[in-house]
Amino acid sequence: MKAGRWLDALIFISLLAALWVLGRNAGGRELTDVTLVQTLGVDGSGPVTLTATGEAEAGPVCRTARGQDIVHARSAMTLADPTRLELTHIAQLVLGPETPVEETLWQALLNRKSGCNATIWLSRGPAGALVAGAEQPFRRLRTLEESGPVTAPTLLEAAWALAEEGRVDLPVLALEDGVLQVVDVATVEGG
Amino acid sequence: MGIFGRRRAPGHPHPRQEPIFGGPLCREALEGAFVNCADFKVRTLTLAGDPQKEVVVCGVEGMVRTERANDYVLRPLAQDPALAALPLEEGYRRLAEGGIYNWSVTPVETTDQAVFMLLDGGLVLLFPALGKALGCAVATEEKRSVSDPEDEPAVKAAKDSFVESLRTNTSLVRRRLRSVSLRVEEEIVGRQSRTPVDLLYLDGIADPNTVSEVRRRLGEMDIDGVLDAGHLEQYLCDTLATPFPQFLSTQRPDRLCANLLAGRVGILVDGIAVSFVLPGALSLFLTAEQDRTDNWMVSIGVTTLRYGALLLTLFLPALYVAAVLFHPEMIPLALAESIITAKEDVPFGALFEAIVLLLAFEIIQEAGLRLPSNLGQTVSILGGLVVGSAAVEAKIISPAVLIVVAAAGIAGYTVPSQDLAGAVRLWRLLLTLAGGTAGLLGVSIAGVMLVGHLAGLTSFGVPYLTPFAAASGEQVERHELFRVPFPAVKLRPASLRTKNRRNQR
Repeated sequence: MKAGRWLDALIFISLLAALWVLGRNAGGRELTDVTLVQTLGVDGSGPVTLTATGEAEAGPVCRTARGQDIVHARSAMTLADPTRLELTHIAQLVLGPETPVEETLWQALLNRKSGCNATIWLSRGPAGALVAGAEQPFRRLRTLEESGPVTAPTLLEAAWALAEEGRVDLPVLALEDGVLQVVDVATVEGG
Repeated sequence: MGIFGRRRAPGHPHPRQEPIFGGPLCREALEGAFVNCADFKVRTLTLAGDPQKEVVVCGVEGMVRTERANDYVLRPLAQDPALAALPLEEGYRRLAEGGIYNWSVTPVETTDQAVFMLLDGGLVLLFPALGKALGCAVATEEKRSVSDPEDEPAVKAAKDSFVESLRTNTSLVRRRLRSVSLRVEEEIVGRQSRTPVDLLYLDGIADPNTVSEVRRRLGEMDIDGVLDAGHLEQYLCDTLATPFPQFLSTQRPDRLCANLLAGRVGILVDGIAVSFVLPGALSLFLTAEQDRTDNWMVSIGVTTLRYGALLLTLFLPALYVAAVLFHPEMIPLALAESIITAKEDVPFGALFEAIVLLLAFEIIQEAGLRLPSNLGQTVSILGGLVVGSAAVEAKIISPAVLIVVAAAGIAGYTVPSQDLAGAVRLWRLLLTLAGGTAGLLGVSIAGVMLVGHLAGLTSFGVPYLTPFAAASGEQVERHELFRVPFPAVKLRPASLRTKNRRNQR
């Protein structure tokens, strides 16, 4: 066999070995085994407490984690439950009364895994308790998004409005008999 | 290299016996060569009824065209009055020089020559008193008539296609290229089949090195028989370690002629109703005759679509499996929810589902191909629609995988070359496995392996990825990749190293 053939074979075997090693460590999982976190409650500014809710095959799932900011809290939540929780499909972000809106929005926006299309809501009480206590928060908020009394801006729209206009109107949620309701609209002004 | 059982003793000599039939040319020698052959016929005649002038006529029934043999060979032998008056030696000369009304009458000197003349459908006239023989080409011309190219239909193009008769095929080419530069070299290949294989090229245009290399490889083929396309391809190709085709096979004479004009070399084989075009390159397998007849803008659109479909059929199942198993963040929420809902009661993993469906797709296709066309369509409908939808309804497979595999399969049908489509299907399976093993990184690694494999292939010295990768760094003509208006195509492809690159003023 010529030297070139040996080299080709070596490269081929190396790539196969890389594939095998990667496959062993990649940890793929079925989509049905993953809990897609759809609604995320954010309380506090430092530390931040995140409350994630989503639907798993076995039923609703609710997890809580703390960190010095959103990014660290997300990491803590994923590390605590690395095989099941998927935080890249958040559709709704609910901010508690103690949460600095503009700072939180920018933290979420700058985190590439968050996405820009999550709708932003405020909560009258602690966001974690609101999200955890609500019945099917994702579906309820989706209904409010589609036919509610006010329109919830997306993460990008809210951040843009704060940066350009210095203010943004956000719907305020409260829990009434276990069901989320829009009870007010708050105007948040940028720093 | 064998499997199972004891190791065989190495070295099995395969010497060619020449001459195959030794000894003087006589009736007994021919009868000995054709012993136990019911179709071998011998008849003794006398020239113009003179019992002193005996002629033994030999032929193989079924290979000889009876009317021609009777009217133009046997009738003059029996009825030409001049033969009665001439001495036998003179009579032999008269027959050889025009007494037999056949365009090809040649002296036969050895038993080998006589045997092969008989096997080609000729008659051999033995003159025992002289120890001489004449051979007359009166082979039957029974063949399938020239019909539509069913495997390569085109709307605004010729409707004829190659048949199993070599001479009919060369005539189909000659009728299109009425050029004295068209060379038709013939090589007899196969110890047992003795199949005529014709090498076609345009002298002064085709690369002489390519022609001589094809000639050399054909000459070195020492096999029992050339009975199908695989025999030729696997002996002439540069490497066997690839599923990708290295020659284009076409049943369209116009397509072969277009490639001869471009500077490629063609091969026609007696008994095989397709021609082979070489050197082959990936771009050649992604073109169809329709591209030449369509408007050039339409053709560019269709060609682009075909390249897109090629990527789709290769990578779609792999990307789906990789995304579902390793990168759910890639999937939009609504789609992810839809996939999860559809997959809720399905007991199998995404990789298993995809592989099983890809294999099922192949099985249905294979079953459809092997059956008569009407039955094949029924099997395809039953397999594709009925079983597929039943499997989805029974929650054995998820609809998303079914859609992905079906989309990839249909996209694969846009590849004009079935040989390339087969190779693509094989790599699609490997890519899907890689995607299910290591996600997008696995797909990337397998993709690199595929490109590396293709980049390492050549066909008679022409890189397989031409024109995407120009081996010598020379600029590639635009028309090698996409159709351009014919008036703008001034040069033949550089990669073919043609002697004369300019093809129009």
